[in-house]
Amino acid sequence: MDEDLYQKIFKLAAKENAVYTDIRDEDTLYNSIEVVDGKVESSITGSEAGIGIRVLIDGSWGFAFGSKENYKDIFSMVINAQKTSKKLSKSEVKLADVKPINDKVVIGQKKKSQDISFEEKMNLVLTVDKSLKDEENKIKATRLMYFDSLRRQTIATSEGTMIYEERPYTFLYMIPTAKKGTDTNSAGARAGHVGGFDIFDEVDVLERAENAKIRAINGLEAKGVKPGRYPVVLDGTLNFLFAHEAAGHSTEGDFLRTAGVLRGKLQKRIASDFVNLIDDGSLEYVPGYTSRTFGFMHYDDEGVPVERTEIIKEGVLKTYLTDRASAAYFNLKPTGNCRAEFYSSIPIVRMRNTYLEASKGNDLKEEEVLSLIKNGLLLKYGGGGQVDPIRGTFNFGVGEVFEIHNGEIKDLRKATTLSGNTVETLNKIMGLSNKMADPSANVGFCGKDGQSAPTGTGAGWMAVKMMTVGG
Amino acid sequence: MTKIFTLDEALEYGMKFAEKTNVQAVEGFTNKSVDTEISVEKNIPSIRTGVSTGVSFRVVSKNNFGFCFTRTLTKERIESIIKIAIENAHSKGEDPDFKSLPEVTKKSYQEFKFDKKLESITSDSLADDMTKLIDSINDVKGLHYLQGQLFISILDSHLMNSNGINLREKSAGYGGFGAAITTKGLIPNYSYGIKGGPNTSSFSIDDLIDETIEQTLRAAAPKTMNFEKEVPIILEPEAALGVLGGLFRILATQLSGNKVSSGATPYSDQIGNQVAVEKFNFIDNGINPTKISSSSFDAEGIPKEKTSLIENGVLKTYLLDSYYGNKLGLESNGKSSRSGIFGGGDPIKSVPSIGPSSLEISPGDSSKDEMIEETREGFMVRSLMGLHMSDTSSGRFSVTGFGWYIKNGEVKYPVQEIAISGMIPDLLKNIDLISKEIEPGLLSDCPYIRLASIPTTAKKFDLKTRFGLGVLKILTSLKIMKNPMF
Repeated sequence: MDEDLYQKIFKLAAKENAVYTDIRDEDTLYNSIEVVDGKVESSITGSEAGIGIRVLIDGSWGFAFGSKENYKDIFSMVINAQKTSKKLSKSEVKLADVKPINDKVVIGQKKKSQDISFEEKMNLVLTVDKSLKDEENKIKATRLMYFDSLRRQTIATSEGTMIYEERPYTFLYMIPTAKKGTDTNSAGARAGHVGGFDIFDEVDVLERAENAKIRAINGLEAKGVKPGRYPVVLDGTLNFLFAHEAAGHSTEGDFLRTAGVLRGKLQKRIASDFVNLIDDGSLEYVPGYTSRTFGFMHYDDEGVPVERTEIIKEGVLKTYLTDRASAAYFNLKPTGNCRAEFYSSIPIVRMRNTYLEASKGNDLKEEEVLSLIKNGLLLKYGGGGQVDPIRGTFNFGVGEVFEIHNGEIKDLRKATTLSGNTVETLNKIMGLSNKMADPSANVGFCGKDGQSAPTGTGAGWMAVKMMTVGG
Repeated sequence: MTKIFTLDEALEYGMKFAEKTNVQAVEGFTNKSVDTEISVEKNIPSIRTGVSTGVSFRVVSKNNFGFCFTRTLTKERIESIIKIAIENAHSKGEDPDFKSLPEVTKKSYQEFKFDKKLESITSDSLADDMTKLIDSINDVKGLHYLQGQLFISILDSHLMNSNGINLREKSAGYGGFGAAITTKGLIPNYSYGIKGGPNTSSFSIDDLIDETIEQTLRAAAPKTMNFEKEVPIILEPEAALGVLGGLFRILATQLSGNKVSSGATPYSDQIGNQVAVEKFNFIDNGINPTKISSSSFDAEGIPKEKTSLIENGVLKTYLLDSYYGNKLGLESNGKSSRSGIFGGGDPIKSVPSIGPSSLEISPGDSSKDEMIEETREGFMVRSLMGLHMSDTSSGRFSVTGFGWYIKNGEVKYPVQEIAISGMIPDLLKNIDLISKEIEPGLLSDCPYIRLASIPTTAKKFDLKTRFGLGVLKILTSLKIMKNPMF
């Protein structure tokens, strides 16, 4: 915290008649290791530091960034940016009211990742890499990525908010690839949380690696799925992926001010009446698991406390995900979804932990979800995804596919893709289980406007009447 | 008070500090980038401007690399990160394939003259251009401006290594994109234009306006359809090598020396073999003066060059840096990249690794019109989604996109939700026509390419969705309500 500096900036802003100013002052530490086929491809240590200043003058934003010692130059750039913004504005930015908050939050690490030597981190990654190999040499390629960061940031606003937060992330990602001739099959597994190196005491990463290895090998031997339309059951990873990529992105308030398939649908039914869509930044732990969810935080990057947001409740679109400006625009409550990757990034609306659940009294057991589909496909291990929220279309990777015959899980099929239309799919959900998946295995980084944000988390199985599988 | 170094002081101090600690070799890199981005989503502007500075070091100790970076230019922070980088080099163990950092070369460096006019472009003049983009789109009947961005980025970089390499370069990126939505037909649709280059002569707002309007008009009144067949597909240049998802970008990854070295590609040990149809030529051109990614030297100081990767269908070489060049018994062809330079990341934080600069596919002997005329039934595709989920080791892909239905040699109508799948090695042998026309992209030059036959599916919107769109169309046509989608 550098309160003197913040006050100097607030004084400069006051002279320019700013109605609101915020400063994000960051000093973040990073370590990463990438291992490809047993070789350490890269190992990086670094620190990211600087300030980002945002002012609101005459209904228009100005934003600029740089190093702290050049704060006067940065402020001049902010004012130039605001003038340009004003020139282009056809409407006034207003901010939803929030109470100023003074807080200091240090999210703990039982074993601080920054205190662990590179040697120990390297040993972990190389040990997991070795475990991905098989005796019959079917696994021909492996890729692992280890990452830890300690995000240290102060948010200071001219309204009196002053929040210092330390938020640690630790993450390991592994992909074994089995190969036979020109045919290949990859499987992915992850272990990560908001916390320290203790994740590797709590999670058996070798078991997770073994599971991925077996899936890669078995999938290689399996036949492919004929591309087409199928009734499907999605596991918790694909529930998370659909909820996040397809439904969640389509409800982001900043984007919806411009366009989108869910624009104008507030308070309207957009899904089956037992469907809830949740985005919850306050979800620290999932019952039954000890790892913090990847989308957990106390405050967003405008200093707004995060909350459990019911985006869709009993099939009805109740709110959009908002920052303070989009909340005011749509006359909604700020949901604490404003996030910025770095001090140099403009804060935008992002998700936290996003999933679909069954409304009260409609929770099904996994076997009940399965029984809703007589003949179709069980799709597991979602990975990667892309959505076009204007057209309302999406495309996901699926790591494991089983045929369902007469309500029973049958033959394994090769990895494939899943695509469809968001609004149509929301209306075709037949049933949901609320049995949440392990949050440490359901960690991801979401990309939007060139910024990356850690998000979670795995949810329960869900049955969908019809989706397009394979290309 | 802690002294804050200038970039040159930080570089010099870090190099000396690393050498004092008896590392085998050290490479230092500084970058100052001055960025202005003006975005407007519908009528909401967002301006991002700032100066990024930082220093990074790649140290070699016990025959392996460690990499570190910082934006805090103090003695203490620089010493601290270099010590950790040395520790991480030691943790890796000796790498027998590492020989040395690049030496000073006798090869010549292509010179790129920095266009000083870029320094006089103000955010105010960018705002004038943005207003022109918005107004021009909104002036076209049935089109509505959706979003756009104009950017200018000026980079000053300095690279040194302990073998005597000492290079500086000032470069720039100037360009933008525009997107518009069309309300013609039952289903609203949008499209976009992207333009840019390294100097003022390579970007004009009028070209971007024309491209955005033209692309959106031809995307108007799309349909959805049920379709499941193997048919010819014409890839537009954007679908073949576009920055937002070009299919042949998977091929570039498969031809990267690191993939080849580990056998994680079908193209290991394939140099000299016919891997594609004879008319296919695939090039990475690091010195194309019209491209935003062109520069004199790569991330480790080796001169950039124009490299023919596949010539007349025969694999000639791979994308190589000094490490993988040495490991494969070949010479680096200047493909080491700090992926941040106009690649969406950050050059300071990016460890040097193999990456293409500007990909090119040579023109063929058909015209675009002939390609369409010779297609009995198929699709022409422009934008693809899901490319990042492709399996680069095999080249298997399954993507969805937007394009046009072709029947009996004529383009019939635009179609949403077209899905195509296949394998890149098969696809290279499945190309039957390449156009004479080349379309320059932000990071590519590419013709239209027809694939003879490829599994293709499409899906019609269900009755409920079509009914809803129909009602909306009537209500908006009668001006009873505004279209809520935009």
